[in-house]
Amino acid sequence: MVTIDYDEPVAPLLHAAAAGDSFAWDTLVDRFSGLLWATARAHRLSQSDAADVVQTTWLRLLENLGRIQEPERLGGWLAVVARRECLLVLKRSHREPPVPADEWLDRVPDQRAPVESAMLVAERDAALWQVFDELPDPCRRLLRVLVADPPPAYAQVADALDIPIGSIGPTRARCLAKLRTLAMQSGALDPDDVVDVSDAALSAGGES
Amino acid sequence: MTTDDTFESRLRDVTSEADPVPEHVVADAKAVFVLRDLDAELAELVADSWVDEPAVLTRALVADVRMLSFVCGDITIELDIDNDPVSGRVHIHGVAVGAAGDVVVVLTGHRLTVPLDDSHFDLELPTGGPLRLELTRPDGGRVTTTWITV
Repeated sequence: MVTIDYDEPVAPLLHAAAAGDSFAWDTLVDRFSGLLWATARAHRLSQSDAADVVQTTWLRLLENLGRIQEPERLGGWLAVVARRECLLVLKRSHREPPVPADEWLDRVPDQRAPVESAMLVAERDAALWQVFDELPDPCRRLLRVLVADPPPAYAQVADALDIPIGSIGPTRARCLAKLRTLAMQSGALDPDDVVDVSDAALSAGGES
Repeated sequence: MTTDDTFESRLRDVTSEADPVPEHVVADAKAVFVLRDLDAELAELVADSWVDEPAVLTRALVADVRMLSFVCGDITIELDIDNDPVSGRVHIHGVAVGAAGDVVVVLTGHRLTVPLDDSHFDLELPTGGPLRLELTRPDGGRVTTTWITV
């Protein structure tokens, strides 16, 4: 189960920040910047456009501090703001908005701006990253947000990508299976790398 | 942990290394807290041509100017934003009805003062980025637009 791994409730932090507590603000920034960055990168924005989207999202919260209706759903609120800003950036750069989630699974990866990546230590990690980057766009987009750090709640992922929350679990499973297959084909993954015996038995039984 | 959870966790580790949140992005987000302005009234964005128009229409107008409208009481602010795709420069033509004095353009790093000429102003920025506009009512009250990214 994927949930936020930070235990501190958001509402008191939000209230404290609204009262002028900069430490509370910093804590919110630390908690949600990973989600916002992942949202922007999931939309294939460049580093500098992604930085602008994240910054604009925080500025938007700043002017709405004290007016957030459901403080515990702040992550979703931020994700929605970030997604809308991403779509404006895509429009400004004359790029197509993302393919709707219902048109997708086996669309061929098309011409897209490559994601710049920092140096990776392990070659296999680099190969896995490469395969991940070449996934069909809806898969890559969903997984990119799911693997934000800290792990976002499904509700936040749904807000970040404008997809039904109920679709996330099944789509995640299909996309991870697809990525695993591609990664094994390319040598980025050993069969026993992530599949233990019981799971292998399970998939041999027809369930994936 | 299921196999999927383990694999996702591996993918998170790889992604955190390959595409981490840049430190300056986090630092910049923390630094903006001082930009909070509790004294000014907020002029809300009430129209955005890039959001409000049907997608089919905007696709035909991709090179077109983005038009924004803000309202705060009796002050209205209309902006035409023109991004030059080649140079990256941003030209903004604005009309601020009901405001007095100058327009202050607040960027995250600095501020620019632009005079109002019969409610009109023009502004050219070398690059895009987040900004807001501050205006003054004839009675001295301050109004700020919501943050936008141009």
